[in-house]
Amino acid sequence: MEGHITLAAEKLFSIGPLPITNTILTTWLVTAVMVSFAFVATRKVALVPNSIQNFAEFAVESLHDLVESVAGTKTAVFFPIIASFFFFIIVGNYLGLLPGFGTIGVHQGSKFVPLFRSINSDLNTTLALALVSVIATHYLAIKYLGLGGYLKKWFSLNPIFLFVGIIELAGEFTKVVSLSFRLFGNIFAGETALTTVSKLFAFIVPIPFMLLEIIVGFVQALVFAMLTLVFMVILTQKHEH
Amino acid sequence: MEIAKQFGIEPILLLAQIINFLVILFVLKKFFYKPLVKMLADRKARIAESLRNADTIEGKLKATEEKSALVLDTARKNAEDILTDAKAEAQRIADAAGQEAKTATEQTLKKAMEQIQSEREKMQKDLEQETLDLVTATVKKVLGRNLRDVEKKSLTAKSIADITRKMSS
Repeated sequence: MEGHITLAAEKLFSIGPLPITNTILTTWLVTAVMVSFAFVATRKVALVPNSIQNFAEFAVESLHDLVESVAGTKTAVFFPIIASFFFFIIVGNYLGLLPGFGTIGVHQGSKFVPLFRSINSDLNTTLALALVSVIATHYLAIKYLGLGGYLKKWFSLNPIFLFVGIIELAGEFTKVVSLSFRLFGNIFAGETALTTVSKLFAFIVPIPFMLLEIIVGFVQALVFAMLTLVFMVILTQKHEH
Repeated sequence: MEIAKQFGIEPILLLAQIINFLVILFVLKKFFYKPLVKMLADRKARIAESLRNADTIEGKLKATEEKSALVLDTARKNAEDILTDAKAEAQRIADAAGQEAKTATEQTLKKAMEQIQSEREKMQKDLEQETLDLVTATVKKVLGRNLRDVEKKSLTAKSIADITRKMSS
């Protein structure tokens, strides 16, 4: 059982050119859970909500108010993106804590491969999210400022501002790295810790780590969503010298 | 690229994750956030409207109360006015009736007195005539002649004076 947790997600099988790793499978599961919940919660949207709609409203309204307090008039555009990041990451993180994740699997030769793996413990997932976040941010910046206003943020005739602008542009690439590795690192570390502790003693002892992971799962989802929101707000503001 | 390999980064997996997330974004935006945010906005608008309505109703109620108080006040004043008028009118009618009655009584009294007076005069005249006739007849019988006019008059006057004195005593 050496290498129970590997840095890279394990390949299960392939559909055509697409290799199906255990995280891809889990991503589909997360997607199915979210889409089903969305349909069930909004099947009959009523002024007087039932319990599922009530919960969905609570989640959406809390996040909406939070986004509105930062984004103001741009809330309508930013909110769906921010909320999707938050919900996707938190559902992924919490689903990864369920029993069966990392423990139910198949043997490929001498290697044990778990069927499901927490989605954010695969850098592919977090890097994909970070890329979407940064590209969406820049797309929205061009949309709000126009191409001219957008370029003026980075390039200037003033050599000092040009230098600063180029450093800031480099910072945009750093964003991708920091967003993806922060999320990946936290969740992967949590998975590793849980697996290790479970190996030492599988009963009672992992519970505090489990609770910790519940907090981490929420905090990381919030951090990713909030950072994306702040980047969006900053980048769509007019540059003033 | 060694790092990428170590972390299991594969462009096709990356693309699969990006597409998957975009699908989630699209589906949630259309079927989750949109109806819920709209519902929340609707509810907020509804509550605001209800509160506004409540304010309006309260205002209207207050205005109505004020109005009804005013109407009551006016009505009371009117009633008082009418009562005062009616009292004055009644007093006036009563006074007029009293006055009229008094006048009528006085008139009747006056008429009665006049009548009495005229009857008395007539009686006196009749009496005069009768006395004169009686005296004339008596004298004629006693003296065998008619009285002269002067005698007639003095006799008559004397007799009347006697009669009147007797009557009044």
